[in-house]
Amino acid sequence: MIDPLIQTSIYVSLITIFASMGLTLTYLTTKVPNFSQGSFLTLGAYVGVYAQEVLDKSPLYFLPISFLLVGLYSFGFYKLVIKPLLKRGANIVLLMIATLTLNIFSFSFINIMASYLSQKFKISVTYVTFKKTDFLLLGFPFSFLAILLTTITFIVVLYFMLTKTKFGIAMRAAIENASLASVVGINIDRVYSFAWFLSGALSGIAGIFYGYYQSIDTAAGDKFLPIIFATTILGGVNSLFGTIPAGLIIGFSMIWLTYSLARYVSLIFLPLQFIIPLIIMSIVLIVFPNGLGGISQLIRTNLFKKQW
Amino acid sequence: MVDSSFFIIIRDIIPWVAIYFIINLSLNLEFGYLGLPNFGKLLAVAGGAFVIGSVPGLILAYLLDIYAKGLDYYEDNNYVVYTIFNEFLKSNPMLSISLLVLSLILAILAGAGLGFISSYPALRLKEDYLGMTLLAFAEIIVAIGINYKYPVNGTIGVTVPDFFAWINDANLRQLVVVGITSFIALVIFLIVNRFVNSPLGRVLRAIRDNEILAQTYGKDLVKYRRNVLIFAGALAGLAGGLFAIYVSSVLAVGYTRLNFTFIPWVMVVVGGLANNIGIFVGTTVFMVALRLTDIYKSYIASYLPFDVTWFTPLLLSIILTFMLIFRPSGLIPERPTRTLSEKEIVRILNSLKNKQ
Repeated sequence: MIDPLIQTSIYVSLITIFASMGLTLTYLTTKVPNFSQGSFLTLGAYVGVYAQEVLDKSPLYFLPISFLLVGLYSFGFYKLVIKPLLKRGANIVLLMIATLTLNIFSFSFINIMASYLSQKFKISVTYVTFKKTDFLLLGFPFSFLAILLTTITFIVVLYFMLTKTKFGIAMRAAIENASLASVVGINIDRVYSFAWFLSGALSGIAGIFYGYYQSIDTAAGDKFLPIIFATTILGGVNSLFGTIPAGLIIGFSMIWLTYSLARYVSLIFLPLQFIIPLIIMSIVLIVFPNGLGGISQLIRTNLFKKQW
Repeated sequence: MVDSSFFIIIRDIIPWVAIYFIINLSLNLEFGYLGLPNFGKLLAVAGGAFVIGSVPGLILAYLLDIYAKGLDYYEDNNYVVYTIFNEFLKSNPMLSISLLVLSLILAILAGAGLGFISSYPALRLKEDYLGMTLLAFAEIIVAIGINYKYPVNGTIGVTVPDFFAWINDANLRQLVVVGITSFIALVIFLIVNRFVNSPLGRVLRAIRDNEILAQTYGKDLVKYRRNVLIFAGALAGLAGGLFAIYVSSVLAVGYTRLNFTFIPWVMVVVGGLANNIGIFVGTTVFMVALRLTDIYKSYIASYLPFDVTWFTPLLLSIILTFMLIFRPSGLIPERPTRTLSEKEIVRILNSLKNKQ
């Protein structure tokens, strides 16, 4: 049995890693920070709400469905909005406004769906928690073991896909230099579509697990968005696996650090839960504009120089 | 008398349009004219509103010494504001007005200060990082507002003292608030319009269109960007303050990214970047649509199986997406800068000749 504070910290870190990996993926490919990543998380969470409240099943069974549905939602947005915009040579701010529009669209859509569900099935759709269907296994909550397993699986699969398969290498080439990659014959559109699908899908998974951490309302993901941004920036926006250490730092500072400060120093620190990660992010941006990924790259290039 | 319900609706919509118009003008100044995408508009707006929620109340609390009676401005907010402050302000019109002016000035200063703070990242980061950072800055100030007693009583919120309590007729009082808000919006529109059509405004556009060229002509980019952010922050702070006065309460949870950053962005893009008339059109169209659904939602509710409040934003976001793809310059696109007319130039040339 580990300290529940550390357990929750790890749990939150893993949710953060999922969501910010999604954000980093679309940032790497289409170079736009998606202001709507939070709504993807909320959508995933509401798939879980539907499972638990309407179908009376454990939301964990719906992980694959949430993965697919939110993935398709995100993919649809790429195909219908981002792609035409890129074709017309839209600049980054226009793309950012497009994701901001998606946020407004998704927020309204989620609210409409939620109110429809609550009127049709007479269920409560806000402040829903999945904790009641959770149970203990080997002394750990099952959700904790599930997220641990899912994360490890995804990281291994993603790592092998990006480094060993042909598509993964094509994807990395497209990230490095899109026009050069298309000259070599890589289908850029397919790479971008996949990145957007996976971005939504990962957030969909994060959404289901979010319900085991905090109660869900229609703005749950939007409240979490600054944390996702902080993680992505800390990890160095150009590094997919940089989000892993960054997510751990953010998760531990959100839970372990704030609660320890509250317990040993003063209760005044307790509400800082959402603020400390943002302060860390601001410091990182000012001191190391390339984030943790940038630091590791700096070390690597310096080592490289010394060898030669 | 005109149809009274129509009159009430108009009276409700006008201040919303006026307040959002000020916010949008400041955003247009930053992004439309200078090219700085400020995705943290909420920061200065919330700052201004929090000032209105705390400063006048605390001043009155010390002035009337409610602490001696064992009362607290935050703990017993409703009671203190309605029975002590408003009764006192009722018989002191001069004091009410000076308190109002003082609070608004402080809101402007708070907005300007927050604009100055956001200029620190704005001078160093590119669009994408800047967007994320300013968005996070805004979240920090709202999180403080939600979680602490100071400045605006956390999740409970505060009631703002009624600065117009000395006007006896309730209808007239409402009209005065609406009138003052619209008047301020009009004055700001004139100032900003004058500003962007001046040589200074042309410098901003030059920086937006070609940084290097502007630098070559000896324009200090850092100074212009910082000053514009401070000015725009001041405007947004004023708008936040006016909003708090209009709804006569400050509830930190209500200051969301959606309401005060994303919706203004949508209005500005739909209306037309770098065109203040376009901004007015965009603001009016959006605000009328949003307010009308809010007012008439109970009538439509019976026909639809869901909450109608969200139907308008859904529709508007789809319209905006189409606009982004097919007409990214907005309803009324940017016009070339107005310069002196030919007649005027000839007159000046002639007067120069005469001098020689």
